[in-house]
Amino acid sequence: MSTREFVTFRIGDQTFGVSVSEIHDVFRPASMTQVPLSGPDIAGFLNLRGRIVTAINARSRLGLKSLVKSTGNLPLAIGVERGGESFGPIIDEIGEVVRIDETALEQNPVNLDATWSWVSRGVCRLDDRLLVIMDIDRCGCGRSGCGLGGDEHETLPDRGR
Amino acid sequence: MMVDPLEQKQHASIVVMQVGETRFGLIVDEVFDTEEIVVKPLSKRLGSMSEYSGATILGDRAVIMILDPNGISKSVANVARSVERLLDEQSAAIGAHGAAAAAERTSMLLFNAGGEQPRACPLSLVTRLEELDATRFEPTARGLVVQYRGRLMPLASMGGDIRREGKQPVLVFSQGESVIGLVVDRILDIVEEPLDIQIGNSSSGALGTAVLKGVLTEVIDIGYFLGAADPNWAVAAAQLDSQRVRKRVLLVESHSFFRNLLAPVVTAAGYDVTIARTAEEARARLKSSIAFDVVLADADDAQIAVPSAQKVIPMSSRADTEAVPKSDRHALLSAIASAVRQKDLGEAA
Repeated sequence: MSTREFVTFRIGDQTFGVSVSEIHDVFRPASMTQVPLSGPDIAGFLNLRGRIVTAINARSRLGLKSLVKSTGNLPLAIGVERGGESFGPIIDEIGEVVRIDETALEQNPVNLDATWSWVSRGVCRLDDRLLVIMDIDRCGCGRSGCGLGGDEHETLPDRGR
Repeated sequence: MMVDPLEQKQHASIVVMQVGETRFGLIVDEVFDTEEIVVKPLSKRLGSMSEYSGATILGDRAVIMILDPNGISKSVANVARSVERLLDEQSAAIGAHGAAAAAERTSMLLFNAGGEQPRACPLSLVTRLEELDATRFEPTARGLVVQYRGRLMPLASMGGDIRREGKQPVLVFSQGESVIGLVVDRILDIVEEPLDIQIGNSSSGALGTAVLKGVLTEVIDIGYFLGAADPNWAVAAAQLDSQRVRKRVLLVESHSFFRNLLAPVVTAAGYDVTIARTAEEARARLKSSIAFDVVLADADDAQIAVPSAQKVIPMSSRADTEAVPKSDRHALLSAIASAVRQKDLGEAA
């Protein structure tokens, strides 16, 4: 019986988990450069030890109200490498690393919101809360998030806005 | 762009740009300064935005966007048709050029330093390009230094004279806490071409000669000059100096980004680099008659079966493993150097 390790973090009221192997860093950026005319999913650019990191507005990807600011106390970002590029989805709070038995992973509930089931690989019941395993590619990092032709929303189900 | 109307301002700064035959002005809030920068390509996530040509990191660590006059002029509505046609032709030309570009191109910085022949080094090695006020250079027992971003930076020359007045172009190299400035006469260009160094009886301090943009260009052994300027400079240059035979390194890396990042770094440190994109390719290379001294492989590929005489250095793009981080140039080069040393010792014994 094999187990997998997930880094947990909170966005809004929800706890998410991403496989530890996918996350390179958790960092609090000193400043963020906004990119005028970019889509709502791009929070801006960050400087992580001399590398330019594209900050992803994870809240926007999840259809939540955006809290991202470009100055003042910036939220946390998790560092992800995709296709030789660095991405930084913005999260609210970092949690512990949990070890989960593979048998405990369940498929997305059928009544999960369409936007969420797009970015969710599955769920897992923790003692006190539900852990959503996030597909970091679909959360704005990497190719599957960008729709290859410009409008990254075309591959997304209707968000009912 | 989303510039507010002039807001009845009496004075505004306008950046005048020219694309083709048409000039247009960009209303800006404030103009700071001119600065030489290294443009880093924009994330593919933003690739469809023609308003920007890239981004860069300034000295105060802020990330800034680089505007693309072509893209901006396109997004401005009333562009004369002839200009649009011109732009289309340009972008078609650029597109064709880009498609033809092979994956193994290396960005090279071209400059003049002590002589008319252009010299070059991999751009990835250079931390920043600066133009410093030469009157601020101060002599010390070990040569000229300049106060640079809160620390003393020794200045070294590659043959040219160090100016004592006016602006002096300087290539800034940094490693950990230490910085060194190499002065050059003039920064010429940045070109992307396959790095095909043809080794000859070149003088010390040069890796060899390559043809870049059709011009014979001396590819500089940056490690040699940095080592001369600061003996503590941690590049494995000193060890390499004593080894006149160039060691062969096989780089196994599936990501083109890391191939482009690492190959010039290792090449510039004085090794002969052969690239394998896959483990299969690596196996084929290792079976061939060429003997490699060191194999650099992604930790995931490090399991490839290699003859025991060859040392495999696992590397990783993450920092939290035991493998050498790919982003740590120094760790990588010293790992190679120690592997080469071990191998030589083993052969001697």
